[in-house]
Amino acid sequence: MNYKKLWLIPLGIVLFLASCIKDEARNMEADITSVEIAEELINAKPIINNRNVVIYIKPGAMDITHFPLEFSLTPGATVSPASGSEQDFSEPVVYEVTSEDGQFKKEYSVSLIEASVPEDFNFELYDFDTKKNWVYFYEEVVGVKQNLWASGNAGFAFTAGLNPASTKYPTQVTEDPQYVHEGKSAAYMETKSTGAFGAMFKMPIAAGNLFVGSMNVDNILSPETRFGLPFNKIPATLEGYYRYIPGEKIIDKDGKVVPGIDECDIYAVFYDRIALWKETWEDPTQPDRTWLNNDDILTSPHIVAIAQLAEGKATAGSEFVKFSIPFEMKKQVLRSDVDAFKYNIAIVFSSSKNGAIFQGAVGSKLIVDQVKVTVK
Amino acid sequence: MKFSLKHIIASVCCLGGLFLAQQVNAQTQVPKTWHVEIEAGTKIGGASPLSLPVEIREIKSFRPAMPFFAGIKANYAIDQRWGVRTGLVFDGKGMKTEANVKGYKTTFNAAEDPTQNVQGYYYGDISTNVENLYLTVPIQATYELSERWNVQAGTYVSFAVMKRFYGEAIKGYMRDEDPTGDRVGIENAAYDFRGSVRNIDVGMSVGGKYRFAKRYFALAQFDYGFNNIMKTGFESISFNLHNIYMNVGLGMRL
Repeated sequence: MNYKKLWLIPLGIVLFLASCIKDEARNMEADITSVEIAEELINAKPIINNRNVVIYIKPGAMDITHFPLEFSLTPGATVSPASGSEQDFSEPVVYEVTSEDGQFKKEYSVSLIEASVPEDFNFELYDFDTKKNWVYFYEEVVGVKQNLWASGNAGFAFTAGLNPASTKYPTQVTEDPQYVHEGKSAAYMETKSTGAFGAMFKMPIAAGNLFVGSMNVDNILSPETRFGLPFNKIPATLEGYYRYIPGEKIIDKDGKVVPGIDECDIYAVFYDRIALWKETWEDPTQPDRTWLNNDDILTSPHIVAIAQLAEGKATAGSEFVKFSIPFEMKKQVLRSDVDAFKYNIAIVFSSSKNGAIFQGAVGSKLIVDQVKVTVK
Repeated sequence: MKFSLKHIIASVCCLGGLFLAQQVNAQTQVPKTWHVEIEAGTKIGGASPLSLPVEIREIKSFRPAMPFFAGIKANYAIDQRWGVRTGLVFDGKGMKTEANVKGYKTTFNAAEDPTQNVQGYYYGDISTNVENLYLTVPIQATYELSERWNVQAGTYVSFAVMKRFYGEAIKGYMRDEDPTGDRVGIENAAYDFRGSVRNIDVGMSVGGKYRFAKRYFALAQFDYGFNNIMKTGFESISFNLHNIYMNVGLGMRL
């Protein structure tokens, strides 16, 4: 017998064993996945982003200086301070989450906000995402930071490459004197091309936008804008200053040129959040919704009042133009319901009116400053 | 545990080893002579990591792509048993797989422009299509086991004449840049790594052939690529992929 070829057998066995599916590795993610808080304590569903959590709570419903907030983490992850430990939430509390494999850590800033969305917005307070460098505006109300302005930047960041400049994004802060009406800075929105990646998914442009609410990018192909946060006044007018310079040619989602000149959009919507919440309790796609989305921001039956800029055409010259738009009341509101934080307000700016359907002119610029909601 | 292509290869090796080991009759060839053979056939295998990395949780489907080879080989008999051979083989090395992955470090790109790339860790289902065509030059030692059996072993150098390596993230999400980055849902996002496939693949082969008629034979050959089929510096896949194929076919002595 010649057994020399038998070496093929051990080779085969080694290959066979090596190809088994390995045991699962320890988890690398370090997320706060959900917040457990009683519904009677909150005014809106907790907003959980990648690095912060914002919870609008009912004023006086709890002692926020000693509150044991409970939340869930990625399986296996640990957190310091512990979930359920009493913390003083009169300022945002920083929690550090460590992944199961110990290799990754992430800090979350968690705010419990008792206040309403404020009435004045000067776009003087902002910061940049630590990793992707996009700007986010915030407001301070009685010393408490409210991350109430959201934009599409978080979604755009994904295609922006490594270490993108903040000016690469559709929504920016500007300190350029020609674009600032008062103070040091203003909100600057510019419709941008999303390049080959965006075009492939029929999202060739990203309009600069800024809105009161939050942004959910669980699916990059259908980023979900969540419009509105609690507001405990009855709005009368939406006021402010803006400049609008439309881009050269409008393209649609297929990249085809559409005749006409681009327009901006400026509006505010005041709506009954509690009614919306009740109506969507059993909604199969978005249960328990406490926000309006792209589909119903201007059409929801729960809207109480709308103020919208009549024409979003180019502003003349290089001067800011004042807008003062009365809220058109669609329903009666009870002062007591308003005092009880049952309503939300959404304020929305977009450098391309049809940005939500990915139609607009690359280069359209909308600058807004000194925005104010006057109240009754 | 799922059966992967390598289980199949491994099984063929085991069986082949047993089968070959039983053939022991002495036989001779005519020393200092040349002969030429042509051969063609099919193959099974893939561009595979040597052991399945921990990121791969499940192989949902696998099938070969372009599984063929056709070649011509010149054989030289040194003595009655030993010989050498070389030649030129045109072969396709490809596969189509669908896998579920977790924390798979990768890059998605829609265009040649690298600033448009999206890098991060992907969680979800991913499909991979590899379709590479090579011109291969083998150099092998041959040994006559018997009147019917001949075994060969040696190295080969393959030159890629067509390179394709593409696929889709089917349903899942990506963590931007690292596992703590923004979580972005992904559906049907394409990737294309053809530019990163190496032009040259070097490897080794072992095989045998069985003469069932005067001029005709059946053959089996196992090919293993030494180098990662992707270029050095390519980081979109966090593990090395080797061309590992089992060839079976028929040949004719001219």
